[in-house]
Amino acid sequence: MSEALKILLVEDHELNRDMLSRRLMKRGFTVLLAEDGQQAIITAAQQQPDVILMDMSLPVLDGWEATRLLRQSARTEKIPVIALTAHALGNEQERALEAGCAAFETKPVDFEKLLGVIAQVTGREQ
Amino acid sequence: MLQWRGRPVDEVGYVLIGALALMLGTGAIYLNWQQAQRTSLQASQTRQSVGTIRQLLVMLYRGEAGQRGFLLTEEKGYLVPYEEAAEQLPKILERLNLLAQQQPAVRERVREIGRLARAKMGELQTAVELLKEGDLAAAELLVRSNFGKQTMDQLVGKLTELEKRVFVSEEEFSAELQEQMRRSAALTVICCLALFALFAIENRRVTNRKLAAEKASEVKGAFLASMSHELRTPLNVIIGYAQMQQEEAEEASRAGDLVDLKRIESAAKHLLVLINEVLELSKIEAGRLDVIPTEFVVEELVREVTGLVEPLAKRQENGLTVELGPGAGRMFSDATRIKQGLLNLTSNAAKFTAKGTITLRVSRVWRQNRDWIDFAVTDTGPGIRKDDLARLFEPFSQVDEQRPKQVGRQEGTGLGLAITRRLCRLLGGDVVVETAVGKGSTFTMQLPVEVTPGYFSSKGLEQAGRSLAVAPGVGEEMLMKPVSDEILRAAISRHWAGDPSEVILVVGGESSTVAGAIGRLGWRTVEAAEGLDGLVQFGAERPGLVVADLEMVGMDGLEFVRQLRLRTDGRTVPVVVLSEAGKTNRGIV
Repeated sequence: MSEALKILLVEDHELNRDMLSRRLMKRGFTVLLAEDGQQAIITAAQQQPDVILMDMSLPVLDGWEATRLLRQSARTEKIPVIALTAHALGNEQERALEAGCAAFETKPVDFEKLLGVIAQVTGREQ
Repeated sequence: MLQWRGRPVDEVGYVLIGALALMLGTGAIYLNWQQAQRTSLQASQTRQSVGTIRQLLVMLYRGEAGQRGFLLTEEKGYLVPYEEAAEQLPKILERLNLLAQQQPAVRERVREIGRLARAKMGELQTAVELLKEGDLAAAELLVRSNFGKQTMDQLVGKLTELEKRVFVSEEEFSAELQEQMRRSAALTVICCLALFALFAIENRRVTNRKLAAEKASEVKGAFLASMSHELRTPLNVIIGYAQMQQEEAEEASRAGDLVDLKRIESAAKHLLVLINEVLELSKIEAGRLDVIPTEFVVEELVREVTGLVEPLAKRQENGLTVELGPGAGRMFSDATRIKQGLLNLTSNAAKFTAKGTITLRVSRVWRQNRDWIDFAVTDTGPGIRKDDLARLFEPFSQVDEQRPKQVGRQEGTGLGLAITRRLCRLLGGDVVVETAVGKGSTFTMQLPVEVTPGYFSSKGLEQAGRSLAVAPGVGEEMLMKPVSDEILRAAISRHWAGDPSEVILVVGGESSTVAGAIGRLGWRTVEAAEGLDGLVQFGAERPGLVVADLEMVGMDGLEFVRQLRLRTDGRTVPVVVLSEAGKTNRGIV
């Protein structure tokens, strides 16, 4: 078995962060955490995760801007970003894809579906 | 705020002051202009007088010269200029007289000049007569008497005096004229400024109102979006932890915990659906749901829906039949919204029916001079009691007794039918129900094949590549605000005979403005700012026609018309609906 997939989870909501990270770790992923967009791009550049799960409504730097910056940097441009948002209204999906996200999931997350999307964007089954 | 005909009093004040300034300004300009004209006329008349007097003088000198020549030489040829002068003189004098009459200031002087001229001419004439008779000595005496020279000197003196006066008054005139011109120019500038200020004020007022409306709509939208976010975030946490705990309970074989955790998850998920539907409903009610029409093949849409409903139907061992009538063809409407409505109806049918049949029947019909597609969903379920029918399309009105026992409460939110009805109305149609207790129910979505312009927002229209036309067929008629007096008059006349014993009820936030306009058209009005007040006024006044603004506080215009239609006395009253142009418009009963 190959090395565990490294996931960077960017989420400002403490409980959501705890819950999702624990569930991911239980499935054998290595989970890195960031609480805002700025932390996210720094961590991504330093730790080189395999995939980023990005909440879009973030403090300091929002998810769209963070994704845009990640796409512009040579060190992070290849890391796929999966957008997570609780916003059901409007054109969130379009905006996320425009910013350079590889996929889009609406909260509450369907966990099994999310695992499928992770496998799809990384090309690896955990 | 203090109001007058629907406008704040300070604005009315500005308008009045502006109008007054304009009136005074134009009046002053007119008077000034008239005076300037008089001044220049006077100047030109005086100039004419001077010219005439000079002509007169020349005539007299020529006459005198002729007379002197004749006196010296007795050559008759010298008399030609004299005779000319004698002939011209009365004409010139007459002209001078005429000019003098028009100029009181110089009248006396001109008369004096005339008198002197006649005297001089008389002297010339007498001398010539004496000569002709051969009395040379008498003629010479007369000429030498100096009488003629004195007269001539007097004449020249008078003329110089008059010329001087004319010169002075010309200067005065031109100064006066200049002053008048300056005054006119200043007044014109002031008038233009007043006019400009008026336009600016009016423009700002209109812009402010538009901005306020846009702002309100934006705030509503932002509120809905943040509501959605705030409600979903904690739910996300609850569902996530419940799922996580379930996994752990499963691993540890704690079956009792598993059941409880499943209940938590399922309740949370139900709440999520509920939140989604409430938001959907409020989005429709707030006019924020954009209808985006496209052209599509009805059969394809039906096939898609069938695929989604089949597993639902099978859950309670129901059969699903689809009957697609011939010629269903294409529709120009919002396919997503139609699918949503159809899914609501069919999943309802599947929920309330067990071991029965669910039939989806699609047909194209011609009704009320329009092309319609009817989507009828028939079930063999318990049917709906008559008492419950009235509340059927209200939010949260799910009929408890008819819920099949085996279906858990979390299956339905009680909002599906309310949303479906609103969606159908949004598309210019409606949902109707036929039911028999113990036999089943048929819910039919009746939708126009081509969605009416005006039922959807300008944004939707842009996306569909169509232009906005005047919206027919809503209530009695839907008008886009701002509405002109003429359009208002025409619309009212179309639906009401104008019985002078009846009044028009105007309901809505801008009722006083609209009522003012209707009042100007010569009809009597009763106003109500809110829907509830409108219903009270309707009962008290029995109006011949109702004008309802969709935008109003409290009960909205849509609800007001619905409530009105529920009254026995309000079922047939014609209703003209006003809506903000460019806004998503909602259909009316």
